[in-house]
Amino acid sequence: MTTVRKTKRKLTNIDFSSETSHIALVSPEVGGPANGADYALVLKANKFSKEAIEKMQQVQVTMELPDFLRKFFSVYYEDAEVLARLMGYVKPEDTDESEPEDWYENYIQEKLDSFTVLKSLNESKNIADVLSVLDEKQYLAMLNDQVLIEKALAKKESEEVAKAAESDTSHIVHEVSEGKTSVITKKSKEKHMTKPVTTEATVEMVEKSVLVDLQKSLEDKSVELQKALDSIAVFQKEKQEQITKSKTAQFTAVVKDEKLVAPIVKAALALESDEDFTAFLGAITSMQVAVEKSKETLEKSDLFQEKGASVSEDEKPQESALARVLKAKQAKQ
Amino acid sequence: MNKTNTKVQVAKALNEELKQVTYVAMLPDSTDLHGDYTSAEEVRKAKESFNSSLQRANLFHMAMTDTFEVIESYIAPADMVLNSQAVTKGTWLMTLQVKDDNLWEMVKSGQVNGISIGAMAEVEELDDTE
Repeated sequence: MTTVRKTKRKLTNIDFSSETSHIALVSPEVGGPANGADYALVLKANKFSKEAIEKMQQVQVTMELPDFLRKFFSVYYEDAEVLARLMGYVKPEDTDESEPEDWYENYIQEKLDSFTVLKSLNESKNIADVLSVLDEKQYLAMLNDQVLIEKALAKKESEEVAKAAESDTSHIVHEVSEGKTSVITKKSKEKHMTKPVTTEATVEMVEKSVLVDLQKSLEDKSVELQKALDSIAVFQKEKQEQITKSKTAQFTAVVKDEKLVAPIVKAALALESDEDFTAFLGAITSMQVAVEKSKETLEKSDLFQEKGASVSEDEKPQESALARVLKAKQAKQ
Repeated sequence: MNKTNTKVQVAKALNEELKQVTYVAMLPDSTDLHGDYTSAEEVRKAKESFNSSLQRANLFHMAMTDTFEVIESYIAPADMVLNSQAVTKGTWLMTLQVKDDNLWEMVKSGQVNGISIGAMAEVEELDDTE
């Protein structure tokens, strides 16, 4: 920037007040800037090329498969490790591998081995041969995993059966029979592998029998309950009849007139409470007593005594002359 | 070793270009390509004269233009480095606002590579011995 050049002139009093004064942009074609500073000090814009910008817009992240599963799919730590290895992931060689990580590696490897064994068993035609080459640890790990899988399957199926039973009692037997079919199918598939499958089937059968017993007991209880309800109804009917008879008898005793007894008893039976009935009965009784008394009084009084007028012989009316003539004429005829 | 590559699209907000560029207008105590020497004091005075003028813009000393305008004109207060270029104290710096896209492309591509002043001045011819 401070290149020494041969000085020809010295400039002073540079003045921009004239109309022609200016500041000009220049290019290399016209010789560039006279000051020799042919560069931009600050370019307030992105100096990135189009290609560079496109590259920046695509962020590429490289990570191990287990980390990927953990971060983007929320898979648990060990599960991600096992799943990644099942998919073919190989853990990179770590030169700084410390002693405490051995147990973890062994743990993952054991889980992985058991899955591998299960896969090979499932795919093999002769399961006995495959089982015979397993060592004690492998066999134990495989059994453990299988137990876990079978428990999970059994739990799932029992939950499905229970749900079906809850939703519709009438379909219990049907659903159970379907569940049984599926269990049996599984049994025939997995029976070759190990004994616990038989245990699972037994468990399923026990659950089915329990359900059948439960249903039967429910039906029995329902029948008993219906019988009890019928007995109660009969008893109540008898009791009602007795009450009616009793009430009718009470009114019959009070009201002598048979024609009046029926409507009075009907009215009395319509009364709901015993107190009303008693009061009604008392009123009828009082009225009946009053009527009886009145009747007795009237019978004893002269008001209704029939007394005829006494006529003497002397007071007998004389037969008229006309009557005598008519009688005589009639006798002649 | 198997690895998985995950590409995630990330949108970056790109600021619109400011289209501003800073050039050196004059260097202090130096002789330019034409052999004209200007002292630091004369550079300062020239800057003040320009700042108080109409600040006309021109292209290639050929035509006045409105495709850019001067928005900053100042003397570097100290030695400094801008865009990997050493800037001496007393250097007259000028920042331009480019208003034309084509001109801006020329600025970015280097087709336009600096500024030059056009003004009246007192010229003192120096002997060859000086």
